[in-house]
Amino acid sequence: MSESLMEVRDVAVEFRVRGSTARALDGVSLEWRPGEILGVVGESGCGKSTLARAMMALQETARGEIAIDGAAVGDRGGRRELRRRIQMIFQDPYQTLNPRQRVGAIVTEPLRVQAVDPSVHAERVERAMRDVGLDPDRHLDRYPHQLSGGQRQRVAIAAALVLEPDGLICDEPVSMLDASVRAQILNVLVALQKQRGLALIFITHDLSLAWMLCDRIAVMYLGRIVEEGRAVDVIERPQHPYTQALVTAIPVPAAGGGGRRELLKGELPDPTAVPSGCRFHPRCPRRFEPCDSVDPGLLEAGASGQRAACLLHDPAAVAASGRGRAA
Amino acid sequence: MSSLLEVEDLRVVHGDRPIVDGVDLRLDAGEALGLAGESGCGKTTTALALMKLLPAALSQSGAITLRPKGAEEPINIGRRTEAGMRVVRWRHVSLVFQGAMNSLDPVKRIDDQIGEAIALHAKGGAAAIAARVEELLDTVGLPASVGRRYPHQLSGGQRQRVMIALALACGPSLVIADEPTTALDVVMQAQVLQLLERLRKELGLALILISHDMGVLAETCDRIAVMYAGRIVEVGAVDAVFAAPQHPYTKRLLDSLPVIGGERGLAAPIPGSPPDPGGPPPGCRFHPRCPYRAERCVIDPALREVRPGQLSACHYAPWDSWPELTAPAAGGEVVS
Repeated sequence: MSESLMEVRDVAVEFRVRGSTARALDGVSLEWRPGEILGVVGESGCGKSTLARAMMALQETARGEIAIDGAAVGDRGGRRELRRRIQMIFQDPYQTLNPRQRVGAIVTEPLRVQAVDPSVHAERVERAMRDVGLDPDRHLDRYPHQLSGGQRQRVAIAAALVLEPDGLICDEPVSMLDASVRAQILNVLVALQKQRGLALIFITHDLSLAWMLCDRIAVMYLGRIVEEGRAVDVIERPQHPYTQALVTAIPVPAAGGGGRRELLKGELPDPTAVPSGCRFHPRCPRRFEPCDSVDPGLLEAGASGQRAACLLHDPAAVAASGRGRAA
Repeated sequence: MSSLLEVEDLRVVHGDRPIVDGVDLRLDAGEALGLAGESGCGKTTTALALMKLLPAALSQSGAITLRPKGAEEPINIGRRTEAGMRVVRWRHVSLVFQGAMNSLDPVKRIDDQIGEAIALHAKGGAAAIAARVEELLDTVGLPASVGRRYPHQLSGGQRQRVMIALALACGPSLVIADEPTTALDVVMQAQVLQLLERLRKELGLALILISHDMGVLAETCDRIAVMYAGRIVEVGAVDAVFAAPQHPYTKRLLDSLPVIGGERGLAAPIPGSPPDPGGPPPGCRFHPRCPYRAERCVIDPALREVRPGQLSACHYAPWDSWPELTAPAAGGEVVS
């Protein structure tokens, strides 16, 4: 048995866009450990949802490998493991819940699809409902439109839980919910991680949320992971200029706010025209001579286990440019 | 000195359901007021009522008085007819609404759309209008070349800047921005907020910023009003409210937000969900969800000054300290 629940190795996903190729993922490697809360953060278009879809084998890959417990998800055996052990929930539960099915049928459906012994259905459904804070007696007969947004997301989580998965990939699970409801759903997810040992992936554009919840974080930019490490290290002491820019831009809900700051200029480049060298260099406030030609891999930077894809962490490149190291 | 905007006892009803239930607001020239609260609390309805842009099914009452620069007499918005409002909207007060960046006309060039807005209230030839369009684009940080483009050729952030340029076209004294950055990524959000702040300083613009994001309000506003179930439950200077909230709803809302560098981990959530406007609970509308509730909470509380400049609609305010709360059962509580 391998140490990781899922492993992503050098994966690329390409889309054809008006005659050119857009690289939604361009050499992504990631490890998701059992029971771990892993955050994948970045702006719209950075590839974080594509990564989730690729991990769920919902998206064809151009290159690389994705494995669950060592079995490739592209193979039949690996696919079967994946469907049984990893589930996914989405941003808008209203679009993923069948409006013509009652909650009971929605939550039972995965058990039917996976041909789980019908004698345990009722018990599994009831447990999943209670685990997400829904009362089976009150909610099983309702339709999705009779529920609030928070309750619908609870139903989506319950439907993901009935197969008793080892991992749950959550794609922006609370970004459509209000603050008070959001906190309820997050509490449900964290309790599941604690009680059932459920591993979670949080895909989010909300860095403070990722900081608060996750064990580790991977920051994506234009189809690549540009920084990874423990959540506290990556957010409190970011080592990649892009992560630094993201953290700086977070509005601070406290007296005085975040104060004055330098903001990143420009916008995410077109994925059909990825810049040469480091893909962040045209927007980078700290670029130096080789950044437009050398594509940096992830380098050890900052705390133990923290890595950043930035030449500032390559002493040889810094020395050759005659630039004093400023980390 | 009298305020730029005074709102007294604003009410909006849908049949017999109160959506906005007695809101008082005051705003000085050049001031930025944040309107906070969750979906359905009435903040967008309040904004639309200030512009008299409510859908036909809703009716409003209450006094809304605007004293913009360049107007000789105060404008009584509450009593204006639709025809009378047309000379007020965009000229004195304009609105940047949620998702507005997707409401640009897809088949018209940007310069034509902004030009039309200018022509509504200003006289001048084509050359004068073209010059003003360029000036407006420059004001919001867009190159003149954007004028010759169509909306689909622009990014979300650029479209939102165009919407702000449209709002500024006729030189209003007040801009109401309803969730102007909600659909944007964090970097672009920060860019747009910085733009709004610069415009306030340079143009002396007053701003009502509506957002569910307390961080956005903390960074942009001078004062903040927190709404719950159609009413304002707390108002005060941003720094005072964030440092020492005086209403349990504000307190719990702020507690649920992560502040990087502070303590990690989840706060106990507010149980339940906001009440249905059809049948709000008696007394304080927050009391069924309030962990600090006590016997007086079934009586309707008034919004009153509990600290200098800070108003709260809680019977038990001022709160000098908040009692410890016990953590909820794991898994979250069952909600109806």
